Amino acid sequence: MTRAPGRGAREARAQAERPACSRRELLGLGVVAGAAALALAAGVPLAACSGPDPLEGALQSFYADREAARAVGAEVLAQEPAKPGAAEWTARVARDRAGELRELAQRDPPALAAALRAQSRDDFAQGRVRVVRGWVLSDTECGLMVLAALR
Amino acid sequence: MLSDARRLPAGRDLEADVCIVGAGAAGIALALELAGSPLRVVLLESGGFERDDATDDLARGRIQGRHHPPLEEVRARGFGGTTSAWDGRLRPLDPIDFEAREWIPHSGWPITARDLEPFVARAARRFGLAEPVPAPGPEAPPALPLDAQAFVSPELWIAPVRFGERYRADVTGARNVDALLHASAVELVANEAGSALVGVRVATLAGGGFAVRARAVVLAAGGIETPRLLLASNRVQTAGLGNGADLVGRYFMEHPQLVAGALLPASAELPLGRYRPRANAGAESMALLTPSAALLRRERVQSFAAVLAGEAALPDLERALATSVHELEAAPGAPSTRALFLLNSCEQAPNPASRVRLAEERDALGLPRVQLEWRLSPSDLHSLRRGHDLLARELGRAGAGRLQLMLGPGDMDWPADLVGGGHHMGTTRMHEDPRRGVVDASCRVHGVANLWVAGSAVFATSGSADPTLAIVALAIRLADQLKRELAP
Repeated sequence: MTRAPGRGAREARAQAERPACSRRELLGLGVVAGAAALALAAGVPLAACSGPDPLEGALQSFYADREAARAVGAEVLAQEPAKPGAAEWTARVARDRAGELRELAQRDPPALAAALRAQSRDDFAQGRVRVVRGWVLSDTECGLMVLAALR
Repeated sequence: MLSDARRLPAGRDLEADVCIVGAGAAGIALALELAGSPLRVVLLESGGFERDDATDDLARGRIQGRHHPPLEEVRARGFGGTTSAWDGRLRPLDPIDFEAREWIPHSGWPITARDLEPFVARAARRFGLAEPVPAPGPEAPPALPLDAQAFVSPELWIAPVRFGERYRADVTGARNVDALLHASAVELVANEAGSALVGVRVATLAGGGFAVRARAVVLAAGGIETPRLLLASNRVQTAGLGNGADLVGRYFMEHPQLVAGALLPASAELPLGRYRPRANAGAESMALLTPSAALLRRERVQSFAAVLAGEAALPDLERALATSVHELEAAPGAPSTRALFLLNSCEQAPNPASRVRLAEERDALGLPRVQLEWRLSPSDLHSLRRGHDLLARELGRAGAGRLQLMLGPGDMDWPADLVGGGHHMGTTRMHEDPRRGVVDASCRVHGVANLWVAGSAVFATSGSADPTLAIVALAIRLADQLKRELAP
């Protein structure tokens, strides 16, 4: 039996539907916006204007019980001496599927959950796992729980 | 018929067709099969119906190498042997256990699981199990949603039949069987060439002694006392009887037992009922988790068998993990509130350095005491870790749950308090080549025409199954052979 999307999925949808750069940010950062327009014209990625990545937001909100995920995520994070930030963890979870996952995050959060579940299971099959306090966990779920902790 | 050997007149020798040394599961099963036959049987038992300290002390020995409980605590000298103090776990050896596996040195029996199968069915009846042992068998698919090509869930039967109590009347009532209590075999007396036995010298703690002259002698004294008696019987062959290739006492194997993992189910509703003891076909059974033969071949590892042996409420972190796993897996019902421990019984690879030998000290009857050196091999630990790593991955792949490993990558050795299952195997291993085994495929000692071994001492490999069912099956098989060979 598959569980209906819970609070986590709803939050993920809200995150995904939020504009990457809010109106106030754009208005308040006219210079940057101008630079962004130039960058867009030149085909350069919009790092300065990207704001919260909708995928990052969706992944950070993946777990409905954020406190539970955060507790485990903090353990995972403690294993990382370099302490990478949310963007790096998002990239780790998304791998080469960022576009696909971002689209799912915006269009179909339950499908995003299913895709991440499948990816996590494939991690186990392929040996992409890490051991946290003795527990063998998939790279994907570790990343998701860290993102919850970083939120 | 039953006698107390302490009350027999000293020096009065007995005659028999078959002399069985040891009234444990193997010895009693053998005697039961021979009961009612034309053969005269003497069954020697070192202890009585009740355990006593003086008799237990005869089993005392030195422990070297890996920790092992005191021998007098893990062997029960008395009518019924160690079945008087066991938990009744029964499972046939797996077919792969009999195979020569190139990644396990010294593996391979000269018989197959199929050869033993009819005797396993007969042995099962001695434990009150249906004949044959009911399915599911060794390749039973797991109840958990795991890949059956990787992990399987054969049934473990639980029938703690106390042979001493259950079969006392049958043995003592058999007109052709003389059961002698408090009768300790202290020497196997060979002919001048050492090619056959003429009898068994017996002593009692009361000071008496006598000999049993028999056409056939069967050692059914367990994996420690059987090699002890062979090694101590060195009057003709100075290295001990049957020890021309220096194999008697070597290849001592146990089943290392430990909690090696904890299973966190993805849901409180995960179907785990088969893994719990339950009434089944008139007996009690539970499913195990064990690697499939295909996985063992692919990974070139030894086996283990895990029972879900207990459960614990979850600490905070694990409770949080249970919630997150349940959510990620979109599992039904509520998150699990408990973790289940995997109690493992591990296959130990045959290791010639793991051995039973004689110590300098002697017991009250003048027999050299045993020195046990239980030694594990790197492949034993590797197999356990690799097997659990794969189980963890399979549980995750199937979305069934997560596994916590008790042995981490940095743990280079077994826990110091590791125990064995009290399963003493391999010390008179079976092989058709006398340079590689002590007994042949019929369990006859190479080079000694009328001497056989019954019991787990003949196991060439240990598998992960509890040995008692195979011990009794081999004893029944031997009884059939003796009836054929010794028929008037």
